[in-house]
Amino acid sequence: MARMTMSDAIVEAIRQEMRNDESIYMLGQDIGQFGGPMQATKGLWEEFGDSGRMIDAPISEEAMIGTAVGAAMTGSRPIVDLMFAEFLALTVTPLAHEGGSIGFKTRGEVTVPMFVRAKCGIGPHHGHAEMMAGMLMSFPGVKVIMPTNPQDAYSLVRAAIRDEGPVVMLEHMSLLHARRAEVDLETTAEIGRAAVQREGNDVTIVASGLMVSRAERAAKTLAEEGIEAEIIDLRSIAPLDATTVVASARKTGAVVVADEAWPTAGPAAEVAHQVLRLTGGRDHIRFGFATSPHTPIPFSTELERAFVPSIEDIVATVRETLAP
Amino acid sequence: MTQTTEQLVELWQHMVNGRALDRAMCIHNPLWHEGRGEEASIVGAFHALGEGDVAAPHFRGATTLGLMRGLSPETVAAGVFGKEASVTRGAWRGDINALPSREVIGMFSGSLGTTVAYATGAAMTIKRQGKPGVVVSSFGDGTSNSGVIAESWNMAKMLSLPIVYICQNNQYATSLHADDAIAGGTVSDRARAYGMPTEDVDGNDVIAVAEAVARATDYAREHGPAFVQLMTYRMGGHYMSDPEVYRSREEVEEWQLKDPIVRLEKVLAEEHGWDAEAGAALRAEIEAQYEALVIAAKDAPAPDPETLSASPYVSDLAAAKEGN
Ligand SMILES: Cc1ncc(C[n+]2csc(CCOP(=O)(O)OP(=O)(O)O)c2C)c(N)n1
Repeated sequence: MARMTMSDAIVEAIRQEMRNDESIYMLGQDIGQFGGPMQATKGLWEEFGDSGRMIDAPISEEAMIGTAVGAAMTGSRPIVDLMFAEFLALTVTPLAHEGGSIGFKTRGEVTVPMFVRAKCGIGPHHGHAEMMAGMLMSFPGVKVIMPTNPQDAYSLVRAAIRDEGPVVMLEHMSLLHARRAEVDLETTAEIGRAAVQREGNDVTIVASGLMVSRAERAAKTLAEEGIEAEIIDLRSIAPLDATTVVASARKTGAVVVADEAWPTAGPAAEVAHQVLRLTGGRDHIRFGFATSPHTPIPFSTELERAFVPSIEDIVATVRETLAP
Repeated sequence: MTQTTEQLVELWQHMVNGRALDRAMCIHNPLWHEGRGEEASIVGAFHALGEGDVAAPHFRGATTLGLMRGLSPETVAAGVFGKEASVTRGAWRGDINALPSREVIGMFSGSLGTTVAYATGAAMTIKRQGKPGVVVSSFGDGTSNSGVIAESWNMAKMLSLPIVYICQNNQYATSLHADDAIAGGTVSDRARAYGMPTEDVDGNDVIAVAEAVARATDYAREHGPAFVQLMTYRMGGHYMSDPEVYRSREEVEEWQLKDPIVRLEKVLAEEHGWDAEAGAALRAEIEAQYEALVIAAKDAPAPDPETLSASPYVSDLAAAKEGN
């Protein structure tokens, strides 16, 4: 056990995996001596720099991802630090359209074991907040994970590095250097499993990233009104753990999705789709959405604040959803 | 082309304004990307453009260009802070796109590189409409590695578009040195391979920059794309929290001696009867003026998401909140 931030936990998981597996190398902008954007690779240069396993990349995102796909197909396990999720849009053909499908198209003869890190979300950087989640979700074969606490970050990173297909991790910038917590270094996770973060019988709040902690605080307010919310932290956006969501939805009869990503064809839409698909609409489950508007993310701090669902938005959405 | 005293003083004024805004932002804005040292490259590249010409500056220079194009410093500062008084009323970032308009193209996301394609597209418009204009498109040495630039250059040459590409080579892409990142010699060597006439110019000499760009625009208006590389240096860090572990103090000090503003002042004093004392006093006055207006911009009213009826963002937000 060790106390660490989410950022520390990610670095620690990468360090462990790199020690265990020589085929892993890391490519990213400023990940060398600089220590990685927002200290994303702190200490890794000191340990692996000499062996050439930490490569400072030029501003060539499509080639960073494209070469990683090629390296992964031929026996390496690349980790790409893409810095920000908005750059995923620059890399879609090699990463998603082709990289996600290679395992399928070769019937598993050729796999693409690569792990991509990308920061997103509103936070200290005041920019680069886009998540691109919906875009990634539409490509079969691409996994997308989003940890919200140090333990999950550690466990999911280990699983992602060992995965045989491309896995993208969205790292929320407001969480990376937030609270420290104990991390069990022996634990690994299964990608595709959500976690029930809080139990309750009245409403299911489905969230990921920063929205999980906002949902937790919303749940406290709601509890004072006698509404007990169950909170599901998706952890894995693709594949999405519909089983856990539906079981909770059947129990509570109401699902509120709290999501910072664009609402169209994204995680919120997919949660609703999965619940409807698995219940056929027969369970009379109510839906509410505390999501961002379908607009580009504005720049002004105040407009940005209005863009991202707040604790009050989540509380209000729950109330509206449960109203008779 | 010899410049008159009046023209040189105008160049001096633009550089001093840009520096004054820069200095004040360094003091009052922790998210600022400093451009100190690159004023000659920015001002020299754009000052000769006239009506019908399009400027597409590198992000480190967007605010200086805004000032050159007659935007009030108050409006520029409001844009950097995303305030109501900015050109976009808080919707977009004035530090990387101070004056979005048909004559000025800047970044429209945090992703570098695409601006060069947009600039190339602007040259297509000019050519298609049979108008006499030219486009000047600046980008950093780091950005030059972005794939979209190669594709844009090819198209510009294929179609003989009226555009001048300028690499504002400050030698670093955050922490990665241009000598390590740029294969095939220099960016000029690459430009030559596309058949563009190229010039390598001392980017801290505003007179040399202005003259070289004028030669390039003359060529581009007649024959198609041309390229100029400006060798310069950013005296400050990449951004305000840059630990600058990747370069030595000696290197920075060496370049401080090549300060482009001091250099022009020397020419003005030696050859144009410039009153150095009066100039220094004026500079101090401008700096004080900019600091005051930057403080005011920081404290200025934020845009109100509910009342900004001119913004499509607000109606979308309202619609999204109503669940439409
Ligand atoms: C596509 C893309 N990749 C990476 C970044 C992150 N980033 C922002 S500025 C920068 C360095 C840019 O270097 P250069 O083009 O030389 O401009 P300079 O900062 O030196 O003015 C990087 C890597 C980005 N904004 N966009």
